[in-house]
Amino acid sequence: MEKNIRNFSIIAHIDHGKSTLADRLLEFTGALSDREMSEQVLDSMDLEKERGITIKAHAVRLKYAADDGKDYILNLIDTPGHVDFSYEVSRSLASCEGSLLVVDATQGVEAQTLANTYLAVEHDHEIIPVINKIDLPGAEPERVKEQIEEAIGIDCSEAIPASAKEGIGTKEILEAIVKKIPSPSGHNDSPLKALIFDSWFDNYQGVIVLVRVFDGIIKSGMRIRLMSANKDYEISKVGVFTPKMQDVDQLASGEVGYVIAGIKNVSDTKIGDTITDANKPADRPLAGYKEIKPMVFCGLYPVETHQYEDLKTSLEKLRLNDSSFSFEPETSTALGFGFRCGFLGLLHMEIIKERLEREFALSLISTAPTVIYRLTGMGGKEIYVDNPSSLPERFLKIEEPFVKVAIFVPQTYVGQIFELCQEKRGVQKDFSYISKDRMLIVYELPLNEILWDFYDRLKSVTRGYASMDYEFIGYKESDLVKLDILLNGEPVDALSLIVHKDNAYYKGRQIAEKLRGIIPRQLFEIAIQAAIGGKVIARESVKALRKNVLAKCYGGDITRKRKLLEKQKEGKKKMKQIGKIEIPQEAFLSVLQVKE
Amino acid sequence: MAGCLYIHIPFCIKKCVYCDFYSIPFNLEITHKYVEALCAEIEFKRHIACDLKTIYIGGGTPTLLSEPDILKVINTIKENYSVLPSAEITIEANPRTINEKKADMLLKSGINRLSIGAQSFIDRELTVLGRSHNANDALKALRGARKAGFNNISIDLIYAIPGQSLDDWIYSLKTAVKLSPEHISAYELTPEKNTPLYRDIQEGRIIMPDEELISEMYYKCIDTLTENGYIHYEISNFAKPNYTCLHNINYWERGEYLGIGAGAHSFVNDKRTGNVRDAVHYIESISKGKIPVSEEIEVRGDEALKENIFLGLRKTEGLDISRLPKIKDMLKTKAVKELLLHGLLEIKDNYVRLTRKGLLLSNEVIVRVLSEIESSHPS
Repeated sequence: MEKNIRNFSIIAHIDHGKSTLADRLLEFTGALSDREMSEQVLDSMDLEKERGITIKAHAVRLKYAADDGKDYILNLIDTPGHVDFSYEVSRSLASCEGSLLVVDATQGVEAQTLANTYLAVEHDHEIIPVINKIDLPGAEPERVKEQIEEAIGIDCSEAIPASAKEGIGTKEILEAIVKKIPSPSGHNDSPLKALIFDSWFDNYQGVIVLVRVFDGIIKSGMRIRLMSANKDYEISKVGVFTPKMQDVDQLASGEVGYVIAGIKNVSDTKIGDTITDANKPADRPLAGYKEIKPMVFCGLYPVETHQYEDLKTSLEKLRLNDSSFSFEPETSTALGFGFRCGFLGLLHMEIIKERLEREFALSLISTAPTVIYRLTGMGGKEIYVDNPSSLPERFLKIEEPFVKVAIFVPQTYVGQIFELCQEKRGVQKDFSYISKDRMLIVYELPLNEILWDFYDRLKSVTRGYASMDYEFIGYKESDLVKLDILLNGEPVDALSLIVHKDNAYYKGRQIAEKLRGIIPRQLFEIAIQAAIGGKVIARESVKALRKNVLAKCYGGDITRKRKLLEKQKEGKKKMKQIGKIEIPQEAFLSVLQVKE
Repeated sequence: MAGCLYIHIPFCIKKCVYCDFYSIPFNLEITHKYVEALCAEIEFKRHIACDLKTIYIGGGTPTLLSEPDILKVINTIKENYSVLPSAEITIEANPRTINEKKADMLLKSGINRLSIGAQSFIDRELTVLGRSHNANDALKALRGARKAGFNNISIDLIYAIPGQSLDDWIYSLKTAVKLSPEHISAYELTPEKNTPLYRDIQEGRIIMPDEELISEMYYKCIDTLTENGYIHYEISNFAKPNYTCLHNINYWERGEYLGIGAGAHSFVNDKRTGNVRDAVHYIESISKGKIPVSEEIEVRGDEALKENIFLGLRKTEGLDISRLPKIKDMLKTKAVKELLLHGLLEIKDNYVRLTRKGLLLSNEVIVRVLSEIESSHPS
């Protein structure tokens, strides 16, 4: 059993400097030379770099010669920073004994930080507060320390002042990791128990699995069993990231690294599953494994119908790398052949959509995201509905998913938050001060209401000062109806949505009005109607186009005219033809952007 | 070999708020150098055009040029290209730059067609457009040109001017008709990007008339002018019998032409080229013996067919189906059938043309037709 190992992760709100700090640690310990340092090494996907968020977890082994004269192995386990991936976060945290809690000295504690810190505390982490960005003019390290103590209840007397950007505090952080975080416990001679906390597909090596070994030893040539999947494989390689991939003979208890075992499908390597020795299996897997289910659904359709096969192949390829989203073929009378896709949350949905469009050069239409409803049919049978257009006309009961939302906000904006949550059908559960001028507000809200521009509105009513976090708490019965949108009398299934009865009239009117602004004038008049159960509740019209002409063909500059026409033609191509009506892609999301 | 020649004179006394054409303030020194450069370019390109049937001197304000400069340009043209005796030779004129004396000089130089930028006969509208002349100037210019002996005069009019009512427009149209020019061009005011007018609209200082009113103005224009003996021969152009503008018709029929001057465009041997717009750059380059071409595109096959369609449909007679066999297939496509059904296109006597309703929706129609060409030839 190694005593000189420290496994840790970094908890931070978006933009509080997690990635920069990770870079400094890598640099300081010599894991990468200056030449090899590209900004924010750990965030390797382009998308992650652009959005400044970590999507996939990573693990890096650092070698550190501490002031006590001993050499240590430090395993930094990077965690995703968004609520959509909270299960992945929990598995990453389960793989460590301690965390750095990084808080921006100019911003203070945010909801996401709080949620993840509680998660770390639940995993018995030793938590080392780091007050980052102390070099900035607006830094208030003392106030932020106070806040951490009051809000989270963590002693900040030894909090480390740092600036990851300027390299201030890096050594102090490394020393604290060595001194404060306990070395892992576990036994090399017990049956193998290794926790899978991440996995992805590599074109050359198959699935690469990141593990934390709790008990036993894992080495190449060994036959292993994935306990919940109940599948056996033979290991071809084990190794560590330094951050370059480097094969090693074995990973012993307490260590973190990768395992390659000829696994073809990431969906077999479920995050949270336990790897054991097939010849000498452990009697019980590690605790905490959960099957994760998509929470948010939307339809994805190719703009050009002939891209259907491409979309299918691309979804299959993406799923190789991300087993947390689902897709099933679906047919829409309006949009043709496409897929109903399920995601962990809205960010997850956006990421997948963007990757499909960027990496696979697809042009997609997505329908408004929806949650999954639980329906009790007339015969008493329970079914789940993830597409508004498939809601049956009659049923006994409909239930929708609810979440508990925690909002951190300066006291000044409390009134606005109450108003917003009220409007979104929220029920207040808690309301308390976390420091002199900051409050924690807890509401129970239908998940569906959070999909409707909740986060943007929260940010705008609080001028960006609020932060939020949420967790799923279960299904509750609600008075919900299906709102249909008709164009020239024909219902457009891709525009249907499920709304609360009290809001239905208002939303119907708003959507019709919004569509009137989005759908361009065409050769004939277009009637837009919103209807509930066949009853029209709102009506708008787009008048027929009267005029679209180039008055003058200036001199001999014909090329310029041709370019103008080409531009109009390109504009037309981006529209979706429904019957004879041309609808811009953004119309399908417009149902979401209704201001209330 | 091009039979049509365009000469560009980029100078103006004052820039109009809606104009995005290249022009610079009039300045004697630059103008002189510019004319030298024009003549040099004409000489360089003496093998590209001959037997000219049209010459068009446009701008800017070409009538700002002095008598010797105009004579120099015309004479250089005559020395380098053969000009047909029946050639249509047009010059554009701002009302303030033309009177009987000047018109007499132009006629004597060989110019036989005058295009006067009257735009409106209401002073308030001329102010909105940022024009330097008033309604009276336009009347005087036209009378002067007539006295001097011009028997082929065109007037430019603009409608859809902010604040203009239908009655205002009818007043300008009727005033024009009374003056009895041989040709009238009536253009809808189109706010082009990078003009003061465009910015004023974007920033809400100026409100354009609505689509319905503009449509009414357009149809009123067609009706008023055709009732008074003008033939509506192109989307925005009207002429008394035998007075259509041959130079412009050549553009719409995809004939070859040679352009001389800064920003001038040519179409020769399937190639569309354009000179740089900057006059100073143009002068410098020519003085070094190099034609400053800023764009060159070769147009063949489907691209040529597309041009035939979008240019040809501008003419009210439409496209001669027998001359373009490929168009026959296009007429059978679903898109075209729909346009016929909607009454935007019609086929008559082997011609396909825009209907009265289709004229105002010509872009919409053309884009649909052009898309059919593309989808039948997957690239």
